[in-house]
Amino acid sequence: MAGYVEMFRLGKTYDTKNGPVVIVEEFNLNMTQGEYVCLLGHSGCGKSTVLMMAAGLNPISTGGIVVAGREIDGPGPDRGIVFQSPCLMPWMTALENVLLGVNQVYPHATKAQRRDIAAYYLSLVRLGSSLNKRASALSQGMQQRVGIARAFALKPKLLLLDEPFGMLDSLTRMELQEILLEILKKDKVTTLMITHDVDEALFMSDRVVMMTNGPRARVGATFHMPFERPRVRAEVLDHPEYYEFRSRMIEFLEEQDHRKLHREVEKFTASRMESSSDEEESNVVAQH
Amino acid sequence: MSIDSHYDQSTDQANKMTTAFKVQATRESPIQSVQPPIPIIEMRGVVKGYGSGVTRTEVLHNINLNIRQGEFLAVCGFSGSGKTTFMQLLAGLLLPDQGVILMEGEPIVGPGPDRGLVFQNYSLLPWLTVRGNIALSVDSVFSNWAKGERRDHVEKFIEMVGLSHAAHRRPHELSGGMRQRTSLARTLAMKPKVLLLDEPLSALDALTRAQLQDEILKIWEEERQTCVMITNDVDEAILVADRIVPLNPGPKASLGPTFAVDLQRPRNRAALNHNSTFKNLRRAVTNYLLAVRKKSRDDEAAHSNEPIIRLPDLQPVELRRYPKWIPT
Amino acid sequence: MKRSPTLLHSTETAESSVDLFAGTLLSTVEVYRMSGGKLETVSDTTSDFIELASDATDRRTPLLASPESLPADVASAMAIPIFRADTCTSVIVLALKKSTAAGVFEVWTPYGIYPELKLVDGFYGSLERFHNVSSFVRFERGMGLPGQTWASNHSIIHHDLPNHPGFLRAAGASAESLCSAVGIPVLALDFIAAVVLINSIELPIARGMQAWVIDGDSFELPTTSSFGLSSIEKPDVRCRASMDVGWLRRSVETGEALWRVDAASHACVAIPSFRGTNPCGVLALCF
Repeated sequence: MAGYVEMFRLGKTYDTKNGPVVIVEEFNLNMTQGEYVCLLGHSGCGKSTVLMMAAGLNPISTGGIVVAGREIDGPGPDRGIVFQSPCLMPWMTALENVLLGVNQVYPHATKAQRRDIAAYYLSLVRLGSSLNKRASALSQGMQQRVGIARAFALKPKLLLLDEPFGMLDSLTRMELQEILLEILKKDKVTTLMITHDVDEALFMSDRVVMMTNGPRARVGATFHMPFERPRVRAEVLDHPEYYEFRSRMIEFLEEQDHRKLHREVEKFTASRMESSSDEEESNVVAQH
Repeated sequence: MSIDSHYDQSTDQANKMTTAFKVQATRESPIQSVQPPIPIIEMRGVVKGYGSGVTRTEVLHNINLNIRQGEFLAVCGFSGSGKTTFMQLLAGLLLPDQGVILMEGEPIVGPGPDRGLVFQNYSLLPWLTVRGNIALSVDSVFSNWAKGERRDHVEKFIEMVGLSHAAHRRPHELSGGMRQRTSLARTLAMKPKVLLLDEPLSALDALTRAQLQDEILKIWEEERQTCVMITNDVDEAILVADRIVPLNPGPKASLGPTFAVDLQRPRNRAALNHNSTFKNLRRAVTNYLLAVRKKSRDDEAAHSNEPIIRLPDLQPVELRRYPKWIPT
Repeated sequence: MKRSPTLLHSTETAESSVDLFAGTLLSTVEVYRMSGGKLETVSDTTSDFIELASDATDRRTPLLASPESLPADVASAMAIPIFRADTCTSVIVLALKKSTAAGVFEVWTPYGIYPELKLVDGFYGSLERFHNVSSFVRFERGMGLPGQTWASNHSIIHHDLPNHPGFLRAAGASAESLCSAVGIPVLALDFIAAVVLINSIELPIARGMQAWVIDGDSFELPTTSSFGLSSIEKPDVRCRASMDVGWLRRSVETGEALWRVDAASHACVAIPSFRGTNPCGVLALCF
């Protein structure tokens, strides 16, 4: 079933007053049904742009995206998205937050059935005992779990994850990764995930697609993960090839870093010295 | 709140605190010495809980730990495993229900300037500059010093954390990382015997976090002051620490076995990724933490009586024309 | 080479040969006595590992056999020297069967300027993950089974490892389904090493195990310090019979490890431990 999801010569260009800026160019990616693909790259490399185009939230400049035989045109519930922050309605309970979406895509279900759908997915993310807690009373990790339940409850054809665990501490992150894989074991949803965490990409995906730094970002390298499913983290970590893949990915990222640095140094010298060496602030800006 | 409580210290204590600690263990000798060094902090059979009677929950259970002079110790655990309680006990902000915590042989009965705490939420005074915040602590702790001496001391620590260019700024004009640097400089400038870092970096983004880890490591390698850091990040723990102690998941959290980090210093983050000891240790600590968590989850599930919900056999409607975007 | 000694007990009914160690992890136990500066086997045991045993006496430390020196059906073998005061009185060798059941041998010795133990040698079979964790772990005196063995000077038995508060690597134990462990101190004038033997639920190290604590003249058996196949709490009857205190007392008096096989072909080994000349405990393993 090759090409369940097809991204064909995908490109994104913004018009600025200094002329057009090409963010993503000639981006090609085919995903089979049920495949888990990670887009790995530095922040600002254009991977979010690709994801937002797939979500239909950002217009496509060139090329196209086909999901399950239909070219996408704008957003729709056939594609579930989980962002870094879950954006829940803080005054609503966990259950009500999930029901928001469920009520729209299951108009033919009874009220009890809709409740069961929402409660079922919340129990899968181990929030079965917190159904009636207000979102504002949940920890960040729990809120993100509600976000995951909400996405799965709509039974999307394609799941889009934009650094979904980026805000969480590393041990909570590991736990949520495992919860997500557990659900995927039941509902084999085709998934595209963005991350800059190499270990996360290794553990979660069937295939890791490394992106070159933007502008003109494209696919730089592809790695197929040799780890068996269902994934057991201890076994993945023990796998003889784990650290080999890890080093190669880190090397790729470092190489991109150097290129970026090189470009910046050129730009810097070109535009004479003025700002202080406050590298950290520029990072803060880049993050937000 | 802990740092504020440092302000009203007597000069006697302040003098005592300036004594430098240069005792650095030579760990390579495989021979057992007759007179082992005395730990700077000893926790013996420490139990801490909240509430009483049936509503009592025990957070920490039977904690035994020796903290060594001049070492960097990382306590690694999941959120909700009592990490903060653990640190507050060391800081003296909480007292144990059972057991005892000794600092250089004396029971810890409250906060003191010999233990400097840096925590996740930098408690800087918003109306003071970076310099002002650090000076406030230095002036109160070293009030017997000459003015010029205190000023030089403040500048030294501003420089140490790389904030010379921002010394005149107020907290709201600083990034999260810079605020945490200020907080760190303020605590370091008080010259505590033991530096307590309670997840100091967990509120920061990955890049800033990495920069501050390197910074902390660099400062520690210069000062070699006893340092206890709580973290939830195995890589961070291995990068900075001499020893790693896992805190098993609560309730009734206890300490796991101590892992030795036998990696040469100075350590370099990039080089470690290719080091086989690093890889194996990372695997060992991660496997340990995952296994204890699995055990605690399994125990929990065995006691759970949540109803099992069956998923209705329904498919979502095909929305041919998308009426509006549903925020998922 | 013949393993699992087919014992022909001369004074007893010399019927068919019996595998003394059936149903345990061990393929054989050898007991050597120091006599005139040389090791000699006590009656009834084989002497396949005499080189290993004399190495252990020379180097005054418990030793694991190098894998290439092992017979085909043995997975690992460990020699444990026994000292009274500063003199080695005897050596026992435990040989582990090749088996699918997990069995672990470990040697922990003091290391560095702190009172702390480090793993210096070990056999883990297929328990690679447990091995990796153990190789980075350090036990301070009094902490964990090795550290407790050091602090107490006598052997200690831990059951139900996944839930045992004193077995700090419990999580690793849970993952690998390890079940019981015994820590044996090796002491001369000073503490030398803690030997740790661990078994999984499938096969025990011995059919019965008792760790007696000696306090002055009295022999005490702490409640948690026995182990038997029939029940976790108490060794089965035939084990108890062969572990009579009078016999154990003799091993303490002679300062040597003792070995005996009774009329019903039940074997027992007594391993005493002394701090200087003071007896601290005696471990009985019954087969």
